[in-house]
Amino acid sequence: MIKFKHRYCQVHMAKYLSGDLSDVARRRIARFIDECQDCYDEYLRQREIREQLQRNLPVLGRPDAQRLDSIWMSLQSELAPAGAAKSPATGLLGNAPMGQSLFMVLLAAILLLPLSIGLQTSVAAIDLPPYPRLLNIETTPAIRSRTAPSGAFSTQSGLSYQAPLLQNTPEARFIQ
Amino acid sequence: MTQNRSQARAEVDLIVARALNGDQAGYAELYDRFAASLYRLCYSLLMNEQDAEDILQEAFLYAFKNLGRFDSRKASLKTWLYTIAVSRCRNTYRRKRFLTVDISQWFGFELSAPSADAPEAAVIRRDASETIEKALADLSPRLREAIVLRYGQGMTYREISEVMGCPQKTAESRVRLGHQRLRQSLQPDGRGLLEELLKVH
Repeated sequence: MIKFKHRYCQVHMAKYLSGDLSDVARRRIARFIDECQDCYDEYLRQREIREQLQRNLPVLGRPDAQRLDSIWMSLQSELAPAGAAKSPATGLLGNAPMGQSLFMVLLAAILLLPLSIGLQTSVAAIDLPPYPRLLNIETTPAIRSRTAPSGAFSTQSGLSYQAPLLQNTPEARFIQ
Repeated sequence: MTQNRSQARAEVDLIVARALNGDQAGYAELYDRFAASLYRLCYSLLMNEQDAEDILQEAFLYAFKNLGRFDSRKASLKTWLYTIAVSRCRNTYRRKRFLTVDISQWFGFELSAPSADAPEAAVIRRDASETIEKALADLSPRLREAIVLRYGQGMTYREISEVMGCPQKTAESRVRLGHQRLRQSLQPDGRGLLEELLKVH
């Protein structure tokens, strides 16, 4: 129990000293300090350190006015160009007026225009890859059908058809 | 007390508005109002005058260039400036820690004493503020920030949590832990630490 009290005091003492505890917690710590010697010692030690910190930390690294002035001077010199860049009279070319910048951009565009057209032409002149052609050509068959117009036909009902004879063909000789 | 704070805050807001409207005197007034405390904060965290000056200049430069982004409804200008400065201080001691820790680990030797232990420190080691300085330098950066903001700048836990970017409970426990560590290194009159220092040197 004493250990718990002491531990509780250690944890909450800094806040107790700076007045950041609730009323209930504050009363509890005050009772421990009254009753327990260890807690009282802890209170004295932490109060001493707190006072030491409050006394010494605010003066730690206190700058002299001259040093701050020199920093302000260099700060101003660094801020000045930034202010100039933000002024509406300047454009893409730093200190050049906006109209001049616009003129330069237009001039560049005019100069580059023929070049860009030339590039398009050269792209069009490049040979395209081969592709299949002659998709619709009439061809003469190498072998004619034997039942082609040179032959004779007869049907089952007795009708017959005599095609015009071609001379000097095997079919013509056969019919003769 | 609270009324004074809100009055001071309203005054600062007016100065900010003037500066944003192009009044150069507004910037100068803001600098005059906060430069000294901001420098002390930087010095207490870095323990080095040159670094503190650099960070002070960087922080104000950033703040003045981005003054339009400052929102007085979210935080006071003081808290905003402190947040900027603490963030830059963190970058600085992160860079220094990288240099010192890694080289000593690679080559297996002890580096020369840090700036807080420079030769001139031997002369002024008797001074109480130097004792505090050394004790602070021994704290981890986060605990040091909490202690400096609490006792050096008199900030509330809420303001500390805003500046450090952590919950309020964390800020409270960091102050408490820092207090405990300092209690271990600083005896009531600081003699414990001095004896320790004399043993080392």
